[in-house]
Amino acid sequence: MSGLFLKEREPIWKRMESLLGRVDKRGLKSLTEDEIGELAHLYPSLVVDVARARALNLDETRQKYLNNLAIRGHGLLYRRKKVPILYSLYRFFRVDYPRLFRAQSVYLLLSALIFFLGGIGACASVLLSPSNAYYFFPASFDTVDEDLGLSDRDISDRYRGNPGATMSSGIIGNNITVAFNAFALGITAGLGTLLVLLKNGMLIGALAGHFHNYGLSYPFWSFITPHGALEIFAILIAGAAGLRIGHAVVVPGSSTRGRSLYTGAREAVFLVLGTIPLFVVAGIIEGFITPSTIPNALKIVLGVAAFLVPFLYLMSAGRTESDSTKMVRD
Amino acid sequence: MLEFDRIETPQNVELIRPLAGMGTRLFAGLIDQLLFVLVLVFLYIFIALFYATNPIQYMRTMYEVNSLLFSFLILLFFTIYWGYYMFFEFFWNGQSIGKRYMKIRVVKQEGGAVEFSEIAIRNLIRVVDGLMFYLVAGASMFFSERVQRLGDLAAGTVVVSEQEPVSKVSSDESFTAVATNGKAPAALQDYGITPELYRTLKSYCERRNQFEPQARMALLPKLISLLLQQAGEAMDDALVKRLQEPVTKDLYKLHEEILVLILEQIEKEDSASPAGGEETL
Repeated sequence: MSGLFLKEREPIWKRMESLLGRVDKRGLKSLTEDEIGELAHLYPSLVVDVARARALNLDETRQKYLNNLAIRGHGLLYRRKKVPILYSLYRFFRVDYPRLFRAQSVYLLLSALIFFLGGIGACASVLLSPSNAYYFFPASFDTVDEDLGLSDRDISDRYRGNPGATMSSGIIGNNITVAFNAFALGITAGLGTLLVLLKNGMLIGALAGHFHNYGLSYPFWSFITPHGALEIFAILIAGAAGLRIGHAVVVPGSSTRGRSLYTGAREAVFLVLGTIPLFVVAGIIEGFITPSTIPNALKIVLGVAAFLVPFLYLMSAGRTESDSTKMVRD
Repeated sequence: MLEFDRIETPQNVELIRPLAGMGTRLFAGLIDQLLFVLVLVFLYIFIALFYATNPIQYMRTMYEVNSLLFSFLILLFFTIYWGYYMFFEFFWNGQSIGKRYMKIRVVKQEGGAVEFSEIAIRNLIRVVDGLMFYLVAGASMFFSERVQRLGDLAAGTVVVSEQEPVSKVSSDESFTAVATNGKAPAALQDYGITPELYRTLKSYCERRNQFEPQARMALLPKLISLLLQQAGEAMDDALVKRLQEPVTKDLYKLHEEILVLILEQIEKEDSASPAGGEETL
């Protein structure tokens, strides 16, 4: 019985093996359309052969060979449909991202709460006792008091010497790294994300308090706001993504922890990836507008606008889109 | 920690999928990290040199051009830092350079090719897995069911081994020859033993020491009765008598020895008779 089986099926396996071998070596493009059709046609019968080989108790080497062939075929045939990258990017920012943003807004609120709690706490502490400021500044932060020396000049004057493009790209890279870390640290039950948010909130709060103590609040905020409003908004979104993962880890609900983590991460990853353009815009502002000589009042207005425009966009876009889309793209 | 994983196909057949072990993954990771770090360090040195040789005194035009190039290098640095794995795993269907070299691949846990979201998740979480020289990843792989690091757990991916099975050589030979492990079926025919029974007996004898005595004593009478049924007449009477004795705690090993003897005899006759013979399989 198994003899007939082998005799009949062996050429098919050989054929399958040679097709798969070519794909492995030279990619799917090396097959003609007919051959791809043939592969798709042969694969289901190959899987059935795996089962038949088991039922016939064929020798182990043969069973392994068939199983391996089927696994290779499986990996080749069950793959995502290729969508044009540019179109899916357009669709993502036009529809999917705003929807995702609104669906995950609870986490954004939580993220903002943590950030501003840290900020207000640090600010209050510095206002009450000015020397506390130095607890909050990192050791490398030696520019703070240099900035204070420029009391009659703009703080941003200090940065005018640097070329804008270089500053922008460095800042963009650093901020995106902070955002991605805040996302990844979500897997530590959200604790790592919490620390990133608190730390950044406390730094801003302490700086605000420090400059206030020296009567430099206005120059400080006119320095921070142009890029900072948008930057902080984007960091808060990244924090929300991290908290989403943390929530999935801590409270799996009715599914298993692994399953819950999987679902949470899928929602969160696009939330954090969508912040990249926000950081790019914020970085360009920080490199070119923040150090510029335009009036401080205008800088503040620009900064608030740079935050409000994307915020309002995310709150409103994709609501009326009639064609059905999935929340998270595959 | 399993070395194998099962996936269900739409045809309702379970396929067995070999997972990449920690050692293989470590090696693939080392290759990737080496390349990755080498490129980044090179870029870093380049950026540092740029910074050192590019003081503000430069001519305005020179300065602008240089600063653009400089900022491009900085962006390239971050793009490689975050994008290296994502880029390769996306365009090479779950493989990075190290993974391709080690013949392993990232796939969906439920089978099939990885999607961009999964690639992004597992490689963003890499920064946590990479803490303490990937000790976090190691601990996760050790304790997880399918050798998954944290990024794999979150992304729902596994890393599978695509190394050719050991039988690669045999697949080039004629299948029918391999089916009986190279033995011509002629001798089996003389005894009247079916190839299926022969293989069952053979694998029983080879692996008998892996089983509990109780299991062996339960299995033996069935095997013996099948053997006697098929080959009782062709066999030596003394052996048949021995085999017919009840399988007890003291005697079962003797039974097994006899089975081994019979198999050896068949194989001996096989090599004596002209190879080939009819195809009975």
